[in-house]
Amino acid sequence: MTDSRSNILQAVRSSLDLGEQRSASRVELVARRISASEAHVQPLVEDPLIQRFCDKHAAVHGTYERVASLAEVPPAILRHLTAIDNPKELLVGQGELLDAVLWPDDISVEKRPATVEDSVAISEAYAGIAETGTLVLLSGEQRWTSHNFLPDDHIIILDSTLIVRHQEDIWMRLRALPDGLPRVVNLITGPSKTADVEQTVQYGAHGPRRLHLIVVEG
Amino acid sequence: MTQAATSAAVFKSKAREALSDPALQQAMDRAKGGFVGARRIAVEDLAEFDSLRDTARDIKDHVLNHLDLYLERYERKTIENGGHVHWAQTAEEACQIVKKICLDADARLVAKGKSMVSEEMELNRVLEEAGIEVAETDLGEYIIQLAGESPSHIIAPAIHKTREQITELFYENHKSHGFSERVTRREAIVNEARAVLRSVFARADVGITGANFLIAESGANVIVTNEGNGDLSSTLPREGEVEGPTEYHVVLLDNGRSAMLAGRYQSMLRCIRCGACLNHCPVYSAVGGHAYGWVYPGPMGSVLTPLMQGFDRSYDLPNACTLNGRCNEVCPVRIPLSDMLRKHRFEQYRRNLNPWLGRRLLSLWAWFARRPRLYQGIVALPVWLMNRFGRGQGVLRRLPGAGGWTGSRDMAVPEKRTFQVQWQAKRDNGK
Repeated sequence: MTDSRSNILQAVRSSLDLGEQRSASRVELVARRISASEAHVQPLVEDPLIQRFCDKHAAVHGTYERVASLAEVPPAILRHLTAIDNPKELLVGQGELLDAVLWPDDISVEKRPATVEDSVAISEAYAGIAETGTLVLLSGEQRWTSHNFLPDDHIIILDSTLIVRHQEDIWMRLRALPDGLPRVVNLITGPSKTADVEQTVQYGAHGPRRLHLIVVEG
Repeated sequence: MTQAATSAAVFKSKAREALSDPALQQAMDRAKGGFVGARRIAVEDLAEFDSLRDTARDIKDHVLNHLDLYLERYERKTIENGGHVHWAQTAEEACQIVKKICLDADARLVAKGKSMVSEEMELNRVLEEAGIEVAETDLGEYIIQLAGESPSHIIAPAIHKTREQITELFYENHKSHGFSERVTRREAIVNEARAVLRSVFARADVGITGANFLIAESGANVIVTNEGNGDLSSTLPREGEVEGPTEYHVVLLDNGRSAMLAGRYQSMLRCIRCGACLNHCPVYSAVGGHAYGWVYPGPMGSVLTPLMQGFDRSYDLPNACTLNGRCNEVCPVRIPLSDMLRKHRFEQYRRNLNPWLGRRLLSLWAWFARRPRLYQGIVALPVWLMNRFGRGQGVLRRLPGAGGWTGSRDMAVPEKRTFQVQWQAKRDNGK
């Protein structure tokens, strides 16, 4: 049996005209480049960051509400659920803010992975990226990735102090996590969409038809 | 089952068929300009776009020039994360690896995200021959899977389908899912596919996706998707209390790419499969993707197909290009696509692949071109004649002996005098 791995690496090296030896200077260059992770050209992202973030989120068909404190989160969720005419049943993921929410009696909350039957999930974002209006969600214990992609409606809570300017800022923070990267990092920019029928955008191809953001300030 | 890749040797006849296919022309007409306009708006909103393109090109070049080291690092990190890395020199070898993984997992249903490499491998055919059901979950891929066709665009695989055709495909195929009526509104079409594909995600044993990028630093893979089907394909299969798959396999496919690293076609390997060159190509816009005969159409396909399938099997592709250079202008990683197509033409001539008549005419032209007085006398005649025919209107509706051109467009009347005469006059004036 031929060893495809060494054949491919050999073919790459011979195409690059390197011979078989791995030169110390190349190895050093690559190692340095990976560990340095220098930021490249970055688009200008103007202040104020929170509003810029919200504007970008709205530009990709997301909706949002800015609230002044954690206590205002449940009423904001209720308003949204009423607006989208959904039963007050939620799948809820883990998060510092979400864990501290006192849920009113008329909202029923479940903590489990989503199935194709579930209609609303609420998650807490790890960060928001002002550059593109992108929400960053990490998988983990009680933070189910299925919440992001199955229910018709996805509601995301974001602590406004976690909004960063550029995508690179997120990777710097993720590199510093004590346990390394989680299994999944989702960068979500707007609801699910497709233009596969006559190149015309339709929302809710597979995942959320609507993406609602609640930014908690102060 | 998807249609097997056909030879790219029959571009001319397929292009002719495409031009006279009313449904295809209608679909391409409806799509026309959508991508081009959307790209323009996005670019206008990003002042740093050009310097970002330079950066992207430089990153790709650096990685390609150190690819052996990046591959080794990627493999090591992926294994550290608990994944498995497989290496395949050929498409067939990659198919066998994937098939074995699926059979070992007792897979009956595979949920697949969109992947052009899997099209290149003809993976669906191999899996289906092994008795495994494969469901494409990207809406466009799902539509063409129902139609038994291959993608006609690398990011909009069903761009050649009209809404009416999709309505009929769904009507025929979704009865078993409890849908007995024809849906005609775009929103209803998308909703019906959503409902049908949910049962796929709920039942699938294995998920297969491509990767937009693999990251050597961490051993991570990146998937970019609008729909969310790629995420579902890589998250849902075989779900228990703990979310996510129990095994994670990555298959690295060479299939001629390592050879492309050497020399003048290396920059083609920068390609990120965005489709901008297709969207801005007048030839692609007129004939659609299937005329190109293999999985990669348009400018990037006309460069890749001869390199991957052989120059002798794709003669027409580099020659169908008008060399207008729009593909170069829009490429986000600055691949000089039309320059490469010109190189392909040199290569064809060097390999003696051009038809006999073309070579004879070129030699004849070269003979005249070396005799300036004779050459000028001869080219002045058609210029004079075309001006007579045009009667001062600037365009010709008909041109004897060139009905193939004037059948679908007008021919511009040339300037009254030849370029060389004008050039000489300009130089004389300057003295």
